[in-house]
Amino acid sequence: MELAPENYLVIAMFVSFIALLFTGFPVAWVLAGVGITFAGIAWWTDDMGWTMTGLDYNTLGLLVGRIFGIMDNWVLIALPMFIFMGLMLEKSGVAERMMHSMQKLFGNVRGGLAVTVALIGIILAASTGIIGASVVLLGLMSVPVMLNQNYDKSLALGTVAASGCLGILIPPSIMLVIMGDQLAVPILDLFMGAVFPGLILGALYIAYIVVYCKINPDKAPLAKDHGEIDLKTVLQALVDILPPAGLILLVLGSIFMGISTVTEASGIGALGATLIAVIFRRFNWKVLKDVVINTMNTAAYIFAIFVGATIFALVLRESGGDELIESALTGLGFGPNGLIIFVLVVVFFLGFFLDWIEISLIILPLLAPVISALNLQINGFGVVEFPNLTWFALLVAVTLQTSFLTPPVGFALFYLKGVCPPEVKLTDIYRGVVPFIILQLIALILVFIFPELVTWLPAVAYGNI
Amino acid sequence: MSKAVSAETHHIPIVTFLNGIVQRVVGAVAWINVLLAVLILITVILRYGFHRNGLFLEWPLVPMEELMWHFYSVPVMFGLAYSITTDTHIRIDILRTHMSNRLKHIFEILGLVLLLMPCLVILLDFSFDYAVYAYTHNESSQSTMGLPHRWIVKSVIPLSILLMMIASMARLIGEIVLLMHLGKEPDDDDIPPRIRMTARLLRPLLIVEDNSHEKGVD
Repeated sequence: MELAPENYLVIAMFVSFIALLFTGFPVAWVLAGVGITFAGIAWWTDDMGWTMTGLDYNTLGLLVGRIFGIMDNWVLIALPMFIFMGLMLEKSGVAERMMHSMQKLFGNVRGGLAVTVALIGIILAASTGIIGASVVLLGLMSVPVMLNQNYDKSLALGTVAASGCLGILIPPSIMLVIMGDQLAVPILDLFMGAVFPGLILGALYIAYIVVYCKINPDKAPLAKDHGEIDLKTVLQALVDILPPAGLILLVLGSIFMGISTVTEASGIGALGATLIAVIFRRFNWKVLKDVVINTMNTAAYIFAIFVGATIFALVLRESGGDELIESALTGLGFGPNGLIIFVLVVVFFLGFFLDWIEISLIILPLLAPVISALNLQINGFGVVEFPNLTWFALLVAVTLQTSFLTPPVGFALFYLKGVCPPEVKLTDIYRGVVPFIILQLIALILVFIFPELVTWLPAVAYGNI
Repeated sequence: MSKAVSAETHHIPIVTFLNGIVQRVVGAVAWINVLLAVLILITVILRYGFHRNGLFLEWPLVPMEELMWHFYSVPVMFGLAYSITTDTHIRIDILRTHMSNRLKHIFEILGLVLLLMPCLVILLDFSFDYAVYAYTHNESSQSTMGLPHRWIVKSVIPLSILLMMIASMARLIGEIVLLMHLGKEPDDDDIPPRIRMTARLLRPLLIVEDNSHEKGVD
């Protein structure tokens, strides 16, 4: 492929972005700074007659309108509301209650504690979508208990890291909100499409834990004080699962049945989580203040990457980066399926050092036109509006699950390390997550081979089956 | 665990003062998120409780839905500055945790001066004009029943950028002071502030409820 002079600018832009990330300066400002700097460089090389990008100072004036475009966005209202809901629910103590009663329920099962963690991960996943918060909560709550019970370190840490990440996939998930916004695909479809991939992952985790503990009973000893399971234990577990499960059913149910929009459901979810905190007597002025401030702070550092990515993407587009990537991808000579596999492999490796936010905000919009143009023949049952993009988004979403766990930069690993007792080494965590990464790849292959896993539920909801 | 290396904890008066301004302003603005949840509830009640009078409700619903994105965007924009003061913006920590304090400070200073601050200056320049234009042209919502005075929400952009300038100036001063006083600072515990923030939020719960187990942290 013949490279135009502008293409070197685009390549240099990507390379400097990646290189500067490793200085540890905030990702959002690296994006913004690299964008602005390369706008200046392109202006200068235009001036010298080497390139023809048309970039100059006034081009940057478009940025303010773009930033206003992210503010004036009906869809993204759900972002702070889902964060609020998740943080409030985690503050409400439902997780500890579930942990306490389910621990008893699975007391006689080898690996019961790890299964409990995975189950709570799945239930919390449906309520939050802030990976950091889930991993931190599960880590604080269960790692000391598991280590006390002489669980194998790797098993304990792997379970916590993997289960804590489910939140970003199982709806309502803020990642799917952002992907829907970027790809212009209905968020409803993405939410419904994510249900089966998410549940499959959760089921794989639990199956793996049970089988592993059967084979290696010494890695997961039973608690010393485990007793018989009676009706009271079962009822207590049900009572403790009920509030978060009810809230999830309310939020997801009203979205899926078309009663409310995602935005409305997110607001109701936030208030519902507050109500649960009130019922459990955990609600007070300080809790509310903590949640309000942390919601603002969390939403802001996600939003910062929106702002940075907007600046980066504008300059990239003006320098012809979009066409470069499009022609590079189509010029590879892969068939439609080959191209999808190639893209997923790239996303998998990008996940080694980029976060889901950057991948959803920078990489996905670049890929969307290429993927839409592919002749994929995904079965949308005639009612799913964008079956190709919906399926593709979910493939990326499942691939991104690995990005939280893959060293060196897996975000879950760092969150978990941050809250673990000091004797836990990062290498213990690395070792623990390996089997879970393999399980995630299995789930990814399943979704790839059976696109109906994604499209079937929306089709049912739209009433065409 | 030991103290963190953040300018905040070293009580450099000017840094504490500047961060204080930002945190007080944004801390107050953050409560708009609660208003947003309540506003959504009211909209839902109006829409589904009184849906038969659809036409009549057109009037309160349109401005309320516009108010929703106002309420979402304001705390989030102002929060950008707050996250600078708490040092919770997402970083790639892998190499940073192994860097010497000296190198960390140098990279931080270079990043602030070469990457962040130029953007803020340029964005302030354009966004100020953007807000002034909305005011002088009396911009309002495109919907006839929508909200007037679009300049109010548009001026949120230059205001939040001003706050970001204050916050990044405070960080810059803090980093320079720390660089000049290398070795006199408390040990780094290697836990990025973003993670410490979440852990702090979720930790107290356990002490209340979980008496039967040993605490892993602290």
